[in-house]
Amino acid sequence: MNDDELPGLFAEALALADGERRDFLAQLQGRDPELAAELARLLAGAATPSRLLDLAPWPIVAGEVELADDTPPPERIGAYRILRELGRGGMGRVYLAEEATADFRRTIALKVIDRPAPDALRRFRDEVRILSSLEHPGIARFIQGGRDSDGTWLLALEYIEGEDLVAYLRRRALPVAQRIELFLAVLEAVAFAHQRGVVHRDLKPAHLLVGPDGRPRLLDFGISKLLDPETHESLAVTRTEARALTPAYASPEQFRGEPVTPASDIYSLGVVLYEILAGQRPFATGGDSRAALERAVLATDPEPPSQAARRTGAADETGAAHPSRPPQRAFGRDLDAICLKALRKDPGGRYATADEFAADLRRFLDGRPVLAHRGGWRYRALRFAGRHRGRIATYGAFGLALAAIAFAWSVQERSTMKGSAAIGAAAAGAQPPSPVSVASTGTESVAELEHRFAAAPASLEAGAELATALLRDERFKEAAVVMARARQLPGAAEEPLLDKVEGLIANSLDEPQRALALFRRGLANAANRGRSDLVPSLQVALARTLSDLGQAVEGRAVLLAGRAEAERLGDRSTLALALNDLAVDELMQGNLAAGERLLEQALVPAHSLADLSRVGFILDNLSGIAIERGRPDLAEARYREAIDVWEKCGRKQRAAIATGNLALALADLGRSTEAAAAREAAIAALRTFGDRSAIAVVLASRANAAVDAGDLAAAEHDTDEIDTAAQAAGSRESLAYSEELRGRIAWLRGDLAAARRNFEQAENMHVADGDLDLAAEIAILRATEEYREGASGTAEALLTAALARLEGGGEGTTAILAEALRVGIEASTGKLAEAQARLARMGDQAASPSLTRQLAYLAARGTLAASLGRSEEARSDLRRAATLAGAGARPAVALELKLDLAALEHRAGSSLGASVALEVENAAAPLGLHHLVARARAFRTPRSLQTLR
Amino acid sequence: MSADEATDVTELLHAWRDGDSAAGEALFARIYGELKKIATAQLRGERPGHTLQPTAIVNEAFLRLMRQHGIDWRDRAHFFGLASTMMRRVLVDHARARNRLKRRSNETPTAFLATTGDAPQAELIDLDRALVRFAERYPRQTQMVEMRYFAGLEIEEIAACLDLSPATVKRDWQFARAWLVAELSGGGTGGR
Repeated sequence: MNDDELPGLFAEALALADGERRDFLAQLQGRDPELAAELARLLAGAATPSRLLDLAPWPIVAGEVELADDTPPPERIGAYRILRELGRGGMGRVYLAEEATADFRRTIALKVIDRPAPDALRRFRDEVRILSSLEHPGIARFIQGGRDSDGTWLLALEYIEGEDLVAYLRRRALPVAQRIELFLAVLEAVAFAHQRGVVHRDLKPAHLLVGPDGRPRLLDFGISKLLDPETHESLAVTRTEARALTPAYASPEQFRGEPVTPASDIYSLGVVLYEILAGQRPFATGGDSRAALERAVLATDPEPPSQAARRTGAADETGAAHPSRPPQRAFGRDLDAICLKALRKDPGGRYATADEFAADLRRFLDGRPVLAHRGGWRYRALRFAGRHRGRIATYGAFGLALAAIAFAWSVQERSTMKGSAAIGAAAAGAQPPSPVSVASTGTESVAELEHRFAAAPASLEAGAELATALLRDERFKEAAVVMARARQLPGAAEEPLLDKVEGLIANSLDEPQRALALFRRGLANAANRGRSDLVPSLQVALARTLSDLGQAVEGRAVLLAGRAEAERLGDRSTLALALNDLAVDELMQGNLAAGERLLEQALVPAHSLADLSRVGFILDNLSGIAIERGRPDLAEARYREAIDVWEKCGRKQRAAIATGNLALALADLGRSTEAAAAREAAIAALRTFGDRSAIAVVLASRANAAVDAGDLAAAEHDTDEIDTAAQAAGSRESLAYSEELRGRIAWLRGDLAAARRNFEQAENMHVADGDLDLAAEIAILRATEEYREGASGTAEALLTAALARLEGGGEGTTAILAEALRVGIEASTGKLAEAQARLARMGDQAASPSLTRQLAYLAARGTLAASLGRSEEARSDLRRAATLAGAGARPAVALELKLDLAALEHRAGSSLGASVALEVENAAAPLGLHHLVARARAFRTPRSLQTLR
Repeated sequence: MSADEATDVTELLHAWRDGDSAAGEALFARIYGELKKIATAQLRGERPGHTLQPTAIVNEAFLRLMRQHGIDWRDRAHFFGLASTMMRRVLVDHARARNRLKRRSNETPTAFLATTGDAPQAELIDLDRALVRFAERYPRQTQMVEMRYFAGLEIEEIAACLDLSPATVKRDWQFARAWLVAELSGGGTGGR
């Protein structure tokens, strides 16, 4: 028989099903009985589990390797009494010891060198030097170090009798916020060490012990390194270590044997944070072997911790899966972003310091926007937009375009450059390029530019143009390749244009630190080479990057300088961009009016550019603000203008989104028929683009309109479609919309328990996504409903929680709605003076062009008037509100307002209440609004009779 | 280490990669001591109860060589291939030593190699013997077993190192595993 035949036969037989395998063997038996017998043995072997073979490579349990070396510990060393051995290190042993004097007694960890090699002693001295400089409550205290009287080298440290951080948190199942608080204490200690130029290099749970006092302490600076204050790289990089790194917590650069910096500690802490949040380490699923782990650390992106947590059930959002555990606050995108930023492969992409890491976590705890998100500027703009997207009490969702816009704008602008066509001329001292030539370079196709670069491979300008065009098409990697080629050309190192384009690419590739350096160098190069024309755009780009990195103050200063420079040079493209960025800053702080003014200013230079899309962005943004400021009339005009502009640029998808938003403006103007037509047009157009998330938002707005109209079946139909699409796309945001809608529908049908669950679920989803503003809007909606049920206390609590989540936006419609509700609550709980003052502060919203504002305001004013005994005014306000709602195709809303009126009449003992209630009952019953029917029935019995019962 | 020696190791590694078995021998002698030193130091250095993997030791050795000799990162897979054979020797030698010690002292030493707390040294020595027999018939598969079993390389890494498809490596492993299980279970596959 033939040995070579066996492996092939084995593979063949293994692939067969049991019965076929028997036939296969029988056949072979006839041909070569010996071979068949051997194959049978092999197949039996394949089916037999083998501990020895299957567990390979085996873990090695560390222990004493040499028995001869196993001498018992001495009774005393120096002034210390030895209690027991704690462990051994490469150069000696660690004992648990007791220090006793006449006055006190304490337990310490005593490190003793008993194999004094010259190198070991040097390292020992290093450690003593490092530790004695680290006096901090979060770091195991250094007690004594040096040579004892009998010549032994000793290091005495505080002995922490504690549990490692991860085990401690796992055992206690603390809420996310408390877990983070504890982690922040670790960060503080690490920041302290870093500030003193010490990198720990081996941070892991075993070195982070939580003592009996509940405070974490950092241990074991045994392999820590002192840093060169200039480069922040460790000194003596080549020094070999007898000690292994801990693979599970080691950074990519540690695996590669590259210099270790504070960023390596940040990485290890990122792993610890991940473990704390997700219940497992980042690359836990890739296999246990060191090789698999190393490959994962070097090459793959970890799964976001919130996803891992959901899979393992470690941070179940409701706590339901773990009845023994307290409900845990959900965490989502914000914490994911923070954790993943600490875990970036590129040390420069991580938090620059432990303090920055901590600051971002605090921002999360405070519910402020975190900076970790990819492209911080973009993210913050999105967060602002998010506030406008939800749906509140009695008005429809709006502002869906804003999110998309802010994103597109930033991509577009980051990649827009100017002046490339005129480089040669400018270098020769010519004038800066005119805006027209600037814009035209922005509209050439990639193919044309590729052709030009191929024709003139030695031209820096052609390379820069091509890279810019690729960037505009979001082909970042190709852009980077083109830039790398252009950098080979003579003179490239001093060329500010290349610095700028490369910086824009770096930003797009999420390497802000590199972008920062490039923009700064570009500014220096521009000054050296007299290229003042490039200064404003470099400044604006630098400002964005600074702001992305959380350096807001410097960012703003640079931005203002960039605007002034752009104005001086007549660089209108950059001017428009600078004004836009300044506007976003204002909007972020809730200064809607200031933001609006700046955007209006930006329109002027934008209009003079050939590329109209910029005007489109600004108009979209302005429209969103107009809606939020209660000016749907203005929004209508601006959206129509925007649609026009988008059509002209051939950007049909943006035109469709703007149309969807126009529908919201029209609905808020009470023009429901026109609104419905615009909505249908938007949905039809968006379907052709397959833009699922935009469709979900417009469908949600249509479904909300249907609920307002009392058409629950239609609303349910749309909700189902949103659900299906959301599940297909895995979009939690869309799912939250459908949950909210289900809540509204269930409420009107009278299943309040189900509705409350839906609302809570929707709120939790938004919180998990970091969309606190949307969560706040749902809480206000719930508060309104609970208030109508008479649960003022619940409503008050919900409202307070909601307001805490709304950042800024004091002028916005959401805030107005919250204020109106609060007036109602105060009026009906006897706080009349407060309610009156609050109503006065709101201004006369009855005159607002926004139907939403009018309704909320009239309801509040009516309720207050009733509480003040001015029933005529109350009646008039509520009737007017109900009529307006009815005219705006919101009969369900009108019925709710009529019920408010019935309640007031009822309380006043007027028989009018009963007749209004009957009217509501008759209208609500055929629509299936069971809850309104039930509430109406309560008012049909005169109050006097009720009290007699 | 001198610069000459650094070049030496790099060159030897490349020569071995390109099929020069004498270069492998030369490297072997040089790296074996290093591996053993690291294994001992790591085991002594860690507190009882902590586990290490042979892979970690091989990797540490590679990191050292990289730092001391300037070995290119891309040579890592080849180094691992070579080191797996050495790891086998380190571990088996150690198991033999432990066994002798155990017989002599008649006390249970702290586990060195353990899967679930007890020491499979004897089994390891048997496996080594079985592998010697396996190697007579299937040398290529033997190298693969060493890489996977003694250095913890993944299928894909072995494939890259031996220039085979991952599917082939997987098939080879299944075959070798079945053969070894059959051999160790006393059935033997005959003296051929």
